[in-house]
Amino acid sequence: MSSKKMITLKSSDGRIFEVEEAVAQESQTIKHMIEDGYGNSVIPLPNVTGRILYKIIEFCTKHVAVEEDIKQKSVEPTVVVEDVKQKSVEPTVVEDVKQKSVELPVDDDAWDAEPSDIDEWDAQFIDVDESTMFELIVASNYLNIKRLMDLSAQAIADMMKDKTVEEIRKIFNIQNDFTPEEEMKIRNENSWAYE
Amino acid sequence: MAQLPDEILEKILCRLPVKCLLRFRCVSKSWLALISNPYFIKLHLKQSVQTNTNNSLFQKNFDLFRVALDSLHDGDVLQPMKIDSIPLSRFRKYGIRSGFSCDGLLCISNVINAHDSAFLWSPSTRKSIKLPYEPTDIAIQSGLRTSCVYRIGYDNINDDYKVVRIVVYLVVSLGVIEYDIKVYSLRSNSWHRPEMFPYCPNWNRFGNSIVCGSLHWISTVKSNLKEENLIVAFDIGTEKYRVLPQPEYSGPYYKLYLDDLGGCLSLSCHYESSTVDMFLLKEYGGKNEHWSRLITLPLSLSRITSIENYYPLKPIVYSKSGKKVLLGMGSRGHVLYNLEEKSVENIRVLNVASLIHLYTCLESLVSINVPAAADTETERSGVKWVSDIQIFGCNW
Repeated sequence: MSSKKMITLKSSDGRIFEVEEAVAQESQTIKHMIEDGYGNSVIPLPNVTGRILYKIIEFCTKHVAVEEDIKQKSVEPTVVVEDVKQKSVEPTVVEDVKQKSVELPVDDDAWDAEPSDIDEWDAQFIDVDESTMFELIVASNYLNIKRLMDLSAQAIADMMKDKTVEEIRKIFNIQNDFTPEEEMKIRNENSWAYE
Repeated sequence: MAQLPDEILEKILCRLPVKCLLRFRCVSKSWLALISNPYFIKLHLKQSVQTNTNNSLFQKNFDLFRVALDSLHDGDVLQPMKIDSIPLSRFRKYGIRSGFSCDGLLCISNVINAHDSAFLWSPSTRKSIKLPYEPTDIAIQSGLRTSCVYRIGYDNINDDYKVVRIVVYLVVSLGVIEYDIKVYSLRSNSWHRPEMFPYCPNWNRFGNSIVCGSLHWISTVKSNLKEENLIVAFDIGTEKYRVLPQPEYSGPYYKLYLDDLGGCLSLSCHYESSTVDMFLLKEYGGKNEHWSRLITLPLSLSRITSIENYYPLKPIVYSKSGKKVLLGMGSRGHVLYNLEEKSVENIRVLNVASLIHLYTCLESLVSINVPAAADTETERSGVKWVSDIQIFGCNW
C-alpha cells in the first residue's frame, strides 16, 4: 500500500492534500494533468476550496475503494496537525504551517456508519446544505467527476421540485428581469403548472 | 452566492419534470431562454429516456390517466391518476383512437372518418395542434370499408417529427384491395406522398409505434402456391422500405402482431397450438440483425388470448429493474411477466376498475409550434391552436 504513487493537490486557500493516484484520477481533469506530466509536482486547484476538496477526496476515495472491492471502515482524511483525531490513513492532508485549525464539516457519526449499499452512502454524502451542494457541483464540473456531478445535480433537482418561482430566485440568487406584465404573460401560457 | 453557469444549470434542470420546467420559465430571461432552447429540450428528453422516471402510461377507458412508471418497480401495484384537467370534448361521442407516442407527442384521430382529421398533442406541455386536411387517394364510398392508422415518429436525418397516415381500403367480399400512404412533416406543416410498397399492409397489423426510426407492418403476399407474410419496415427518414427477416417460429401460426418494447421491435406470434411466443429484434439494421425469443406463454394462459383476435398479447414496458415485463392481455387485463422465473404475476390496479390499452408516453418539452397552415376546411371545431386539452376519451 505504501508503494502507491501519491499525487499532491493544493486548494484555492492553500491547503495541501496527498491522495493516491487512483483516487486523484477519478477526476478527468486531474487525470489529464497527470498524463501531461504534472503528476510529480503540486497540482494547484484554484477553483476549489479546501473544505470542498476534502469532501471530494472523500467521495473519490470511497468510490475507488468500492470499485477495488476493498472494505474500508472509514474514509476520513488524516490531518497532520495537533488537536485533530486521526481515524485512518487515507487520504492524508499535510497542513500548511500557517493554518492551525482544521474544520471538518462532517459529523463524527457519519464516519462510523458504513452503509452496505453505495447508493445509500452516496445519499448520506450528498445530504448537505444547499450552498455545499452548489459548491460540490461546480467543483465536480471543473474537476470533471461524472459520478459526483450526476449525484449533486440530482440532489439539487430533487430539492427544487416543489419550490415556487420566488423561492428558486432566492436559492439561485437570481434577479427577476421580467416586467410584471411580461411575467404574467409567461405564467398564463402554462397557468396549470402553477397549481 | 455566485450564480451557476448555464452549463451546470442545464445538467440540473434536465432532471426536472416538465411541469416544474414550465413553471420556472418565468424565473428570469436567461432561464426562459435556456428552457426553450432546442438543445436543452433534446437534453431533457435524453435524460427522460435514460432514467425512465418521466415515463407515464396512459390508460384509455373513456378517460385518460397518468401512471408513473416508478410505481411499477417490481411490485404489483399500479396507481393511475386521472387527468382532471381534460374537459369533455365534442369528439367524445366518436371516441378517439390514439396513434401512440413519440418523444412525448401523441397523434390522435377520430375513430369514424379518421382520415379526415388528426391532432398532435403533448400531454406534458398540454399543447396541441390540428394537422392540415389531406384527402385520400381513393374516394371513400359506401360498401368500402377503410382502416386508417396514424403513427408518429422522429426523423433524425432531418430533425423533424413526422406522422405517417395509412388508409387501407377493404372491400369485405374481396379482401383488402388498396392502400394509401401519406407523410406529414411538422417542420413544413404539410403532407406529401412517399414511394409506395408494392404489397398492401394487412388490416390491423401495424406496429404500435415507430421503432428504430421505422414504421413496421405485415403484408401478406398471396400466390397460387402459398401465402407469405412479410415484415415490412418503412424508414421515416429516408422514406424507403425494407423487408425484415422472420424469426424461427416453433410451429404453424395463425396470427402475428407487431409492437415495441424498450425501443426494440417486438413480434407476438400466436401459434395454432395456442401458445404464444414474443420475439424482439436485436441489432436492428446491423449485420447481425436477429430475432430473439423473449417470452413464451404456455397453453393455460394463452388459450384465453387466442379467443380474442382483436386483443393480441401486447408488451407495454419493462419494470424499473428490467427483470419483468408488463403485458397487456386484452380483456383479461394486464400482467407482469417475470423474465428470470418465466412466470406470470398478477397485477393490482388501484383506483380504477379495469385498465385496457396502456401505452407509454414520455414526458417531454418537445414543442409543436407551427405557423398557421393555409387550411381551407371549415371544420366545426375551427381551432388550430388549443391551449388546453380538448380531446379525450377512448374507444378502440
